[in-house]
Amino acid sequence: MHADVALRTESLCLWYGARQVLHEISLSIPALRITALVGPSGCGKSSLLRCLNRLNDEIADSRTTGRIRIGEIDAHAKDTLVHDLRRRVGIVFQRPNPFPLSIHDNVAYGLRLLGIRRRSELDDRVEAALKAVALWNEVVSRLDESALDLSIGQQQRLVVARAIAVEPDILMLDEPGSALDPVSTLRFEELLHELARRHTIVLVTHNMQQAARVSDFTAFLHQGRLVEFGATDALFTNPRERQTEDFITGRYG
Amino acid sequence: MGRREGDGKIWLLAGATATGLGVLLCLIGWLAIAGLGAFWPLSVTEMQLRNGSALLGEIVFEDSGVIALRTSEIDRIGVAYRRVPRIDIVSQSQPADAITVVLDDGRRLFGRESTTSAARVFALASRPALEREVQHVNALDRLARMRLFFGNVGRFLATPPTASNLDGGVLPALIDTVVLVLLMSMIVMPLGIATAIHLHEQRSRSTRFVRSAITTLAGIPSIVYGVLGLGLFVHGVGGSIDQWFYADRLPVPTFATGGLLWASLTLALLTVPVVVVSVEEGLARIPAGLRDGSLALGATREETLWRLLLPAARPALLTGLVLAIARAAGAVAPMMLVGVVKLAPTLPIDGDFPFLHPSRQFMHLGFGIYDAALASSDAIRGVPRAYACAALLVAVVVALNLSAILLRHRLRERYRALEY
Amino acid sequence: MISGLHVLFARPLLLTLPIPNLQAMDRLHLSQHISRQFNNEIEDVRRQVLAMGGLVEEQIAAAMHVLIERDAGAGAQIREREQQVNAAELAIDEQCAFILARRQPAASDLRLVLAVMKMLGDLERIGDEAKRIARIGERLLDDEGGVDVTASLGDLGRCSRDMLRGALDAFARLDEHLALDVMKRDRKLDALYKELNATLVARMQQKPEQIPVELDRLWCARSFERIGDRCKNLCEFVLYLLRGKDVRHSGLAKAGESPA
Repeated sequence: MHADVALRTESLCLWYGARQVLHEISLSIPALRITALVGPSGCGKSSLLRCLNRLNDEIADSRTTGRIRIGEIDAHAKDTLVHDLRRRVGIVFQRPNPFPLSIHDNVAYGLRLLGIRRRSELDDRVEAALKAVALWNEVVSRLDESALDLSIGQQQRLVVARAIAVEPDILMLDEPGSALDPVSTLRFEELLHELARRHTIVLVTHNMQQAARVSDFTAFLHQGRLVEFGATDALFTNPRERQTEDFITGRYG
Repeated sequence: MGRREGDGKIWLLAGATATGLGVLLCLIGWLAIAGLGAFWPLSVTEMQLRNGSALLGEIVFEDSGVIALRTSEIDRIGVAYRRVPRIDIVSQSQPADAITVVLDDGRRLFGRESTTSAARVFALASRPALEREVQHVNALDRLARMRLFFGNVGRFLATPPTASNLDGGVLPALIDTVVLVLLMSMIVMPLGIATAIHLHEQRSRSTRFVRSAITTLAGIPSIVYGVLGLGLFVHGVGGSIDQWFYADRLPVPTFATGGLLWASLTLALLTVPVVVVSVEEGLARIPAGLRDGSLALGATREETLWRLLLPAARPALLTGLVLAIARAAGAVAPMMLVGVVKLAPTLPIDGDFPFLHPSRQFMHLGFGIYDAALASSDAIRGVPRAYACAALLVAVVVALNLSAILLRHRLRERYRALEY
Repeated sequence: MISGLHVLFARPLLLTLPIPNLQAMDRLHLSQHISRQFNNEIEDVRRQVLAMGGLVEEQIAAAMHVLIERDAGAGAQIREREQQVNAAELAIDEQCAFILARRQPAASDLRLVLAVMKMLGDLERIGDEAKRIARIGERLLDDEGGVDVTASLGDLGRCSRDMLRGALDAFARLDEHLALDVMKRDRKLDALYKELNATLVARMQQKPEQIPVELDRLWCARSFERIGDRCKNLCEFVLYLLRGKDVRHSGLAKAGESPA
């Protein structure tokens, strides 16, 4: 696989029960870039994310066909450990979901799962993760307080810190700005640029301006199909497909 | 400003609540007064009767027509009561020199120091007994009576009962009740939590069956559990254990008779539905986003359960425990079938290894109430004693509940965001 | 939800309607935006550009009146209309800036706004050329000679005016073929200009005392030729709008290629 591609899907299809949600999605996510997934509501963007780290396995009647390759690993191979996959492909959800633990323990949760026990190592990595999301200075004096006391913008950054503490290759974000106010959203987008230096970012958003501002590449999905994929600049000035054009310019009914 | 819908209903609801609270307070108040009243020192009264005789003793009952007097219990406890019609009484007085001699088996003897000495009063007792104390009740002022009162209460709480179970304290019953509840908790919590976890994690037809089974179990009368315990545990399992391990002691049963272990197991079965429902509801209230977040970090389902879900459900676990204790503490009927005795020779915990003896029979405050109120030979002593046991039992349950509730409140503070 | 229903009902209708004209006029579905406000704003800008183009066309016609038909009165009209043209340029520019700020247009909407803003410059300069031609025409009012060169100037003028009209039509109808066609006509205009240039140079050599007059005529010819170039620019912007490909500086042959 090309060294610049972090994740590739091949003819990925997803069913929830009898309903097919994704049709033959073949997508290559470039490494260390920000890729946006856009499309109208219900087009399958979030479902696609959940496929990539096999969170859909938790849903009883979901079924997937096709292949997902992350680096050299086939996500559905028999000897692939699901929890290892999920460590490599992190996800941040729409609403921040900090655990009812202290700030330190939230970030350390994933590290402890990996078996890291030494307090000094945990502390170092927690500090690094919190610094990476520009939260360290705000919380350094209250690491042992409950994470639920933070503001919602801080909580969202905390959740990102928690996700990157385990050093994933790919970080997926599902509409991360939708719970935040505009200023917090912009700060969050700045953060994404910083994070893209070390992680491949996949961003689901229904906000076209956000996709245009933040991403290097954009994929447009419609009713479970991948309609177009390309560099964001080109896609937003001169999309190839009529469907993409209609959606981006707001002529989609 | 016309009347809006619900105005009248609010008053109705408030009235209902007030009534309920009122009844509860009355109950507790009644128990407290009646129970504590048993310990208040009674004065010694001397009555001169029309026929010229004199009676000396404690007034235990009076109404418009008759006065009941407890006279010196020379032979046995509880048989020296005299009912005297008021018309036969010429005069009454509380002589200052009256003495009460209390024996260690609870018998009370009365005399007057001016006419006899305490030793002579004591000597009247026909059966051998030790003298416990001599009281000059009539000569005491209020403060001294209070001291005597507290002394009586203290003895009630801290000493074992006399052979007749009419005097002395309830210490063994108290200890046994607490040990029973604790042992039951240690059995029911893992069982209930495990069942609740299973029901929460699995979503199949079998779980619906299990759930309906549990709701059914919750409705079965407690004495049926007693019968189950008797048949299954005492005779069935206990009999087998005796056959296998204690055959040398047969025909004296070790485990094939009522005991602490079977009683705890029976109570655990009785309260399991309560715990399961409470824990399952607690788990269900945890937002799905939390579990997804944990799985997304690479946790397995077991790790998510142990590290995140169960700790987050701790308030619900405690609620389940509180409800279980409440149900168990009041379940006297099954206890009578599987291990409670009126007077147990030993405590189930003592200094000998293995410190806890689950095969031993034990006493129970609830049973003590029944025994004192209905099965005692001296109703006049028994009924107040029953009230005292009841008040103590309520106090124990309230104490256990309050501590669990306080703990749960402290935990709720930590997990409060889950309460939205 | 209403717009969803609209699509539901519109789709079968679109299938039954005769395709060509509707599509030709609205190839980019410019009138189907969900936001009616935005729709109106875009339509408004287009209309204003076409109106301004109409004004500039009249400027050219008036300039030719002065030059060819020696109509002195037309000159005053030109000066009046000049103000209207400038006012229109400012208004459209401002309108475009508002659309950019408010709507953050993307894809074809963005290209439309960008194209319009660039076309404004060329239109305004065409107006300037017309003014220049009229001024020279006023100087030449008294000269009676040079009927044939004046006729040639007339041809040049008509050609450039047709090119402007063609460019505006191409913009109005979003007609790619017409735009390419107009761009090709520029060659013809250049040929006419070269011919006239040679003729005027020869006349200057023959009668040196007529040099000022012939020079003036040369400047007019030059202005018409520049108008033609500007019309070619207008067509390049129309092509950019339609295809998303910038065809400036790439030559007519490449511009004529269908989009990759």
